Amino acid sequence: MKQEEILFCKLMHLALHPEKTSLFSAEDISSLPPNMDAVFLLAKNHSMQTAFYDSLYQLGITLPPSFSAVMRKSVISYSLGSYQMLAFTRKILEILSQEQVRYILLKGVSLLSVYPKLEFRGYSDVDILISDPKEFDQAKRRFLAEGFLVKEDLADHQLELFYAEGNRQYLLELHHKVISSQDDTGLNQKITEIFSGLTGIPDYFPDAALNYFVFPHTENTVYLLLHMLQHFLSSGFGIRLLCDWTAFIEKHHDQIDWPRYQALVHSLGLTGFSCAMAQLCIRYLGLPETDFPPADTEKISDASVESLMTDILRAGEFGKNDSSRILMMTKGTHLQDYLLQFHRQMKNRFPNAHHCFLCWPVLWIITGICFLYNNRALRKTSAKKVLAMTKKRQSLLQELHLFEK
Amino acid sequence: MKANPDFTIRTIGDLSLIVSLTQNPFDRKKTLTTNESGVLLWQTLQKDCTKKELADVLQSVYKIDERTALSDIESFLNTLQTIGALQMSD
Repeated sequence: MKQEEILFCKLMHLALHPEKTSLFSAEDISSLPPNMDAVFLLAKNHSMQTAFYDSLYQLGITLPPSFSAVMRKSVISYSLGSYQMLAFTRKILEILSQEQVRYILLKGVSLLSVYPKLEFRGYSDVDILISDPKEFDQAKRRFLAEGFLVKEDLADHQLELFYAEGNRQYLLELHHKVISSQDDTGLNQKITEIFSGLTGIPDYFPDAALNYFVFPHTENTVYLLLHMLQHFLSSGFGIRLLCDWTAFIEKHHDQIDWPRYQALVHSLGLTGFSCAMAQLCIRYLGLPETDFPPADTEKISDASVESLMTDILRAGEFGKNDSSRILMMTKGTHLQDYLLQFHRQMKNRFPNAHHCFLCWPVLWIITGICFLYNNRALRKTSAKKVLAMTKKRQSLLQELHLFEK
Repeated sequence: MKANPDFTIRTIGDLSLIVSLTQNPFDRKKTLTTNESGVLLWQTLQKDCTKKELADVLQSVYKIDERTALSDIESFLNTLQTIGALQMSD
């Protein structure tokens, strides 16, 4: 790992544990100013500017005036955005309460209470899970009546709704499944078994006097892991999701049923992935090793842990930093695996039309054209680079023994 | 007058923002970014007080004259009132 990456991780570790200023040696502190631009860029790429700024203050680092001005502006803007999202969340929860719809609040506000300061955890949308189809439709109708607009969307697990207030648009992701369908149909089935119909537990965020329902802590730990997996298999995820998991487990570790967690993760074939994420959180973000079942922290090599962390840091939030990252192949990288993946992308793009197999040739052609066009015009990369990056990241997948039981 | 209890002060590093998290504004203008002296005044406003009492607090810390203190306070209180963060006594 590069020096700025090591320093950035330490700053995030400090942000989650403000009492641990001793984490930084005199050498670390003297290394910060010459690396400040690079570390700030990492903070921006991972949407962790506020935590970064607060950690620098905790260390007593004096920033050059021009840099300080830029940072302050960024932190203020980011924090104001957080308060606006709180307002949006409150509006959504009020609507759901009035409709008496059973829901689960995923991530977002429900994770703010596990951080030392709510401003550390930015979020750009609100995620609500409504498993019951009738209640889902009821909620959708009500949101549309309230002025929300549906976005045409390719996700098979959620509906995206926009809401405009002032000069800003807010995004509500209304889930009927926790994550999008994965390659492994057994995994998809198991996820449905675990999460659909799960009754939420009441939770409360005192800073904002907000009441809402969340997954029970054990299932929430699994859900946050699945959310990381979903993004890891797509274009990647940033350090923010690891911070979420670290802070969540640290706060709730004695309320999590660890044998049940291990059983659920094993049934999903994610023990290796869980071990790896735990190792990252322990090594880089200060999750106490005793907060995680010991057997689960032993399975992955040090070199693999470092490779994973490097991949996460260089990707930026949700892989945005690298336009050649778009997918991972969970079943292998032979020609038939690419063709199967291509077929799956076609099904995602045409959730209704793909049911007619006579249309497949046309749908394949359109999917291929869209893939080539999106690479050139939107992602500013080439199909060759995308496939090369996919192959490179495959080696990380192999280390994780994904879906092995 | 005193601070509206619906409002709170949020501190990130050396930055302080006065905002209501329970009456969340969609409007960003309903928050106030303030400095050290603003934090001091806000803390004093947690109890009912007068402008003179606020001026005394500023003068004791910053060694400024009463006129300057009252002028700074006036500006600060006006902004608090605009965003709804101030409650006037009956």
